[in-house]
Amino acid sequence: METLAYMANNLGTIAARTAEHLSIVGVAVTLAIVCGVALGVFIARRPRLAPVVLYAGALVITVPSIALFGILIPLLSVIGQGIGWLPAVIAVYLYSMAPIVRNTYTGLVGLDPALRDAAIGMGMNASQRLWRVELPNAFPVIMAGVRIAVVMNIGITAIAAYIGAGGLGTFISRGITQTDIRQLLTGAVCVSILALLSDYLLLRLQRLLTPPGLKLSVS
Amino acid sequence: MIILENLRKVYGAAGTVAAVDNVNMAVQEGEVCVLIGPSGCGKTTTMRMVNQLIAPTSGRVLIGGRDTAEIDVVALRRSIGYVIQQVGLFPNMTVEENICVVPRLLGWDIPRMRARAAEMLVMVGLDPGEFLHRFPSQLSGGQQQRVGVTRALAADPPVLLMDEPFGALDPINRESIQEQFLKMQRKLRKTVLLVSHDIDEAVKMADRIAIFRDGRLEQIGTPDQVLTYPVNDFVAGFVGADRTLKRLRRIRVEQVHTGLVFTVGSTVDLQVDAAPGKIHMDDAGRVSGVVVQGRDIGVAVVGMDCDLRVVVSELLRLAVPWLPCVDADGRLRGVISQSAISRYLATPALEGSVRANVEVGHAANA
Repeated sequence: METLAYMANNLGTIAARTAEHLSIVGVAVTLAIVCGVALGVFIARRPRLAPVVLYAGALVITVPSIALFGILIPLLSVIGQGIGWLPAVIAVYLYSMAPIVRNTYTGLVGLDPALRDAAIGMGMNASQRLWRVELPNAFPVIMAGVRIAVVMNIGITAIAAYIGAGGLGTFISRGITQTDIRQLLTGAVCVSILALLSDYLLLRLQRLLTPPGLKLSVS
Repeated sequence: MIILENLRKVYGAAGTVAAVDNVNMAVQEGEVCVLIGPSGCGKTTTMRMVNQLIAPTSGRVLIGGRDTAEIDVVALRRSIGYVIQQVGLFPNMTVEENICVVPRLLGWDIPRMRARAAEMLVMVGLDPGEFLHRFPSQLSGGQQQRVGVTRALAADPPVLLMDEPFGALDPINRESIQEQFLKMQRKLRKTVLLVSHDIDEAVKMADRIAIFRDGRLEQIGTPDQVLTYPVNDFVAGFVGADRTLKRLRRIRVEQVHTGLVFTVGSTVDLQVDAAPGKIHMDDAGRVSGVVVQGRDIGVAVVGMDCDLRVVVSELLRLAVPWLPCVDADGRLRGVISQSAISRYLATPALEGSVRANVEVGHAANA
């Protein structure tokens, strides 16, 4: 009850923190989609390189986020950005790459080889094949990777409050240092709601953008 | 015309495995040539070298006199229809979009593509109103392959490559789509290379059959030639011990029957290869009853355009040595006998001398 009252009195702050939170995740995941899909496409055509890249991606995820932030501080201090928004974005970007690269790769190599054979045999060049056949048909799998990246990183971004990146994690860190359960709960609840809501909206987006012919084969 | 010249494909580091070994052959304009052989014989590799899906180790492929190695590979493939066993329709596209893939690559305008897609669907017996906007997942296997064939033909390529196109279909569907394809082919006269492992399909579809073993072309010829004169034991074994029966499918009554001279509206009283009988006719010359060796077998006749499989089947069913043959309107044209068929099969080159020995007696009134 106290927590609810706290939330009601601090709606403006919550909104600002949510915006900070989303700007970190949004910018990082958008970058990761561009790079991750490109990398996924690249390794899908190179069977020897693929396991190396996928393994490296998995390795990045095993690094604890608090440690990764720590590693970035001296590195980015060189350009005067050791703490704050930039290291948070970079960390989230790195964590997002693995699921997006992996799902792009899986989606592409999992396509029926007959599609590739038909596309090549009919005279599509590599980019026509990619844009007209491979990416549309792998889209649901790629999008699933994006959703995993977003949900996972909304949680990770909460920790970025410790390096001064702002976001909803600020409520949590202050709640801990001030032993204020109201702020702690506010932060935790908001992060959870944000994660669930983002996943739901991205699922809606995924359904909207999936080619209609693929939805039929799934149902 | 497609010409394969000293075509060779070698795999393995030291060039140890010859998948295709010095193949020379020509496919005439408008001809269906079936490449056949056991798996691993090089038939598919040979076909895939025609549209450069596999690069030859040495040798040339000429289409319409041009060396395909000198044509841009993408342009080459767009000018060659391609049908595969797994169909490979794009699930994200409608039937119409699938059919229009190559026309779109070639930059056709939209009204022309639309009209073409509808026209092609009609040709394979699918209603455009019902099917144009469906997705591949909403089609049965047979319908999918009909669309697959349509898609290959959409841009009207002179050459068509088909890799076991009907191999994945159930027998009934296969039969009907084969018939439909032959009907289309009589009209379109494409130069077709079709890979198959089914000798019955080859006999049915081919103008010429090319039989492969271990990367080598063992024999190429018309179905009748290959079935009659297999060049070696391998070919004989591959076409089967019942090869004579298989030949029957490609021989029509017209080629073997013996013509009769008679008065319309009478009864012809005759002896065919020493077996007596009577053929009754109505005033229009249509057969109204048949008696062979004293046995009334009703209006048992065979059409002039029937294949001999049907005739032999009828002869066996009715246990008679001969049957009258009739034209499309049921009018008597002649007779066809078991011994004439045997003689035809024994000496195909001497078609003129294998007629039945027919003696027509006095023509009684009907």
